[in-house]
Amino acid sequence: MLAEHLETRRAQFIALADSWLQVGAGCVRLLDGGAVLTQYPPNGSLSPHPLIVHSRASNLILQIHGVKADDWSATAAMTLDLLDSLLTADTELESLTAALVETQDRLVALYELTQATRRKLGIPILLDLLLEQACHLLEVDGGFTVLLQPGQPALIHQKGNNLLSDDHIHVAASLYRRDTGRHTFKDAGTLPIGLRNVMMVSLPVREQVFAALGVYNKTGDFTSPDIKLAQSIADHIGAQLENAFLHEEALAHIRLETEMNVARQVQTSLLPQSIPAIPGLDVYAVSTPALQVGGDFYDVILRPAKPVVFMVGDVTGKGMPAALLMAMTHTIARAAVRNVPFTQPHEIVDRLNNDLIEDFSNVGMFSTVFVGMIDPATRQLSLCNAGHSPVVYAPASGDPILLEAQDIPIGVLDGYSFNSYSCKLSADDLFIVASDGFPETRNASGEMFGYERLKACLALGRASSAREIAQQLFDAVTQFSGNGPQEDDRTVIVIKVR
Amino acid sequence: MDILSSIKANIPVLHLTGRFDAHEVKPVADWMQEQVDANRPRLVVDLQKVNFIDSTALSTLVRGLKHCREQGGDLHLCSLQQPVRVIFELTRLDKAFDIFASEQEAIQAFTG
Repeated sequence: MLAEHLETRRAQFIALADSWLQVGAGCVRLLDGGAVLTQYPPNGSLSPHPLIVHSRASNLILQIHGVKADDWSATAAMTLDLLDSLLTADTELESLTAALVETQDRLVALYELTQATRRKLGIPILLDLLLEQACHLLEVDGGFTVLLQPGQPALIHQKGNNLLSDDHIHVAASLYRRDTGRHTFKDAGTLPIGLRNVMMVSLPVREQVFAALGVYNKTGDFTSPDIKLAQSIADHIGAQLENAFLHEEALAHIRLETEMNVARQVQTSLLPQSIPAIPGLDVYAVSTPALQVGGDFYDVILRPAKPVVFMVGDVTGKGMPAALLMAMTHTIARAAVRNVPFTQPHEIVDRLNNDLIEDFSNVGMFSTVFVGMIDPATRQLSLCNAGHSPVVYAPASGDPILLEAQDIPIGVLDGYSFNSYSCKLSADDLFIVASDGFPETRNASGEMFGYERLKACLALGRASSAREIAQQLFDAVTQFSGNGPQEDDRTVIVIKVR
Repeated sequence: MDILSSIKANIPVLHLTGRFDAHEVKPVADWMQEQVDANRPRLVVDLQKVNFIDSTALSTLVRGLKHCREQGGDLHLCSLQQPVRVIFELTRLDKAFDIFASEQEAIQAFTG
């Protein structure tokens, strides 16, 4: 190092040596300890007893050959001081340059750290980039992040030349977790083999998550500025992780919402797109699904020379399982009605129960089903009610009556025998089959719409058409709920005898 | 909802309190599964302190009923409050379950 600096300062050295030659010196030599660094002139004559001066600041020794020691020692000391300060300045300049380069490096790494997070990357790639920069900034062999969430496997990510085993990381994490005020750990039997020193700082992510950034094997020891730097890197990583989590959640939410929309469209398209015109009857049916896909279905099916079949079903629960089972139940019911010449409603329900009991049992659900058959010519109505409510009969003269179910829902008991009942309707009689989304609608204080309000609404509007009556029902529950969110599907079939 | 289980005359009994709805079904389903897995398929669920039951909770009880019966046992319900009884009547699930007026009767029906 000294030799290199001397090389760049050769001109100055020669100028100084020259001035000595002019006062009669034969040769000027500079030594570092015992070794000769340089001399001028290269072939200058050496004397056995040169003037020798030792530096007070370094190991340098100056020899002036061919002058009288007594006369020139002070001047020689000044020459050496000059050389010393020249060379010291060079060394300082070099180390300052090195520090500048290092700082520049760190700034670049910090910039990379912030840039890494501006792109929308997946969490693993993001952590990879962040850890790489953290290792660079903290000058360590490697680093890792560990996330411990209750009820979930530990999420470990690491970066380094020689990766650690998960066990190593768990040891480090549990050491830190015991006392998060302590950040550095040195090998004193506590650290697993291969870990000389570890520094841990916490990563601020969600509250219920324990998360930490660890870096290990720094040459020398971790210092307090290292802890501060690590903590600020960890804060940054934590914020970015939180962002990434939110981003992923938002993506998942959008995906789910899209799927739900598709499911709702499919579900709606499975329901009748229009109600057939039936001579002698005014029939209207409609279903509005809740925000979440639900399990209501209805159908009105005309059969040549046979009674009209109408049905409403409600699969328990909400979401995709209910929607899928509802689609199956509805499809089997419709196919049975169209392809098998059933004459009684309970035959259809028996068929549904037998065909679907296994599927319902597998998923732990069941479905209420109402099937009615009505002959418009004779006004004869037969019905089978498998646990469904509300079903309301409002005779032309008289108050609406709630008809209770006679049988259990389908999907509950294997081999259960369902029953049919019949009655004769008269002109202006009303028959309504709805789903529990109406009576179970709640208002702001948690009170339910209930059956009495339902019956009152029907009694009030009974002079209207089937469509208007259905609309009045919807309006009544919407008003009752104070326009709150619809929690359950609402389905209704209104039959009015002309 | 509070859940308390006990064993009386060798019959596991589950006492529920409060609203029994979709948010509360898991511990009940787990308890029933645990009993059936441990070869104890004769169970009593005491609904005396339950004031509301929704369709998901009903499904959970139906599922438990099926599991118990598959293993040669049964699921007895007891002490239904009026609002809960109404739901069982509306859905006619009162025909699927054996429902008793008291816990003692529900247990005695098993032990004879």
